[in-house]
Amino acid sequence: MAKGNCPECDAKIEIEDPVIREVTECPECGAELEVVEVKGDKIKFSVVELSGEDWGE
Amino acid sequence: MVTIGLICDRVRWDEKELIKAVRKRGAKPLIIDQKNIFFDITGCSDNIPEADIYLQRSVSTLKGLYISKILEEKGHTVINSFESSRICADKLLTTLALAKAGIPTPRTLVAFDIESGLEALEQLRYPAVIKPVIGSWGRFVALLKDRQTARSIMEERVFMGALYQTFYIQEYIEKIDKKDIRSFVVGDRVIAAIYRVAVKDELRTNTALGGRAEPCPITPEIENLSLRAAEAVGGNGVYGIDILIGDKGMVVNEVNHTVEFHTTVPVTGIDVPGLIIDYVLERVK
Repeated sequence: MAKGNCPECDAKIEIEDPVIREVTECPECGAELEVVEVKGDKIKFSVVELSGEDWGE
Repeated sequence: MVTIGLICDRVRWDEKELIKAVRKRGAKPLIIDQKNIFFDITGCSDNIPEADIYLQRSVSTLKGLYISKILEEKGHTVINSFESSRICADKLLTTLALAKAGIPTPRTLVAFDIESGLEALEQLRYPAVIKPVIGSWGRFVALLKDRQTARSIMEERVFMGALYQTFYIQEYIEKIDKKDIRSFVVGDRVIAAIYRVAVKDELRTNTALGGRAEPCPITPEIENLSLRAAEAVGGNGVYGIDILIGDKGMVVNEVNHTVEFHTTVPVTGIDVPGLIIDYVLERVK
């Protein structure tokens, strides 16, 4: 399990097999985050900017 | 070993499950991040990672469409094809394809000017629904209750840019129990279906807007409509079919070409990502 901190509220976030560009939600502040760097078991997150056009469920 | 290129701009739960499914089948997933690639569209000095087949998972409609087209022009297979994705990405083109194939779909009128839009609405009668021709997750879908509301909304749309100046106006179908159906077509099979239930006071059932999912049996009617709708937009791919149930029966509302399944899997227990990857691997053979 790799770990990192939310850039908005500093909450600890754990992700199994993190992938660059993976999106997740901070369990504490609800910010939508993106994995931007994975080094060993350390993850760096940034806040997601939503795409301007897309589709969905 | 077969390599499957997953073209992504976000790796959501859905993409992670697809990656797991690829590995489980002994194939290699290649995550292609839109941000890290460029295409030489007049030559061949691209930096696109080589794969046996590509699965388009971009959230961004236009970027996804362009990447699929370029890859196809360079001789690669992309699921879904550019042509079918182009039709699905545009509600106007989807409706034309469904109508041409004789598939029941909501009555739809199109206008390019506010006055002709209002005239079209007199024919269609209020309430009606206006939607942007490109866009999802139910954004900017609005209920037009009367002429005044219609005029105000169309006036606003004019200022929202060229894309919103095509007035795609549909008859309003009152959903029985506030439900509609999303079915999943993979190749020539309907693999799953869910009911999407709108939250209170909400017209739209999109799960992105809080809509709830419930399992839905794949009846012969749902299967028939779904397969015909997928075929009408090009077939040979992975599609999400939106079906409305009104007082005149079922109608196909939309066909989606890059489907999300994060609510469908837990509700139905069906291995949607696994079945998608099985189909992708079949296409490599």
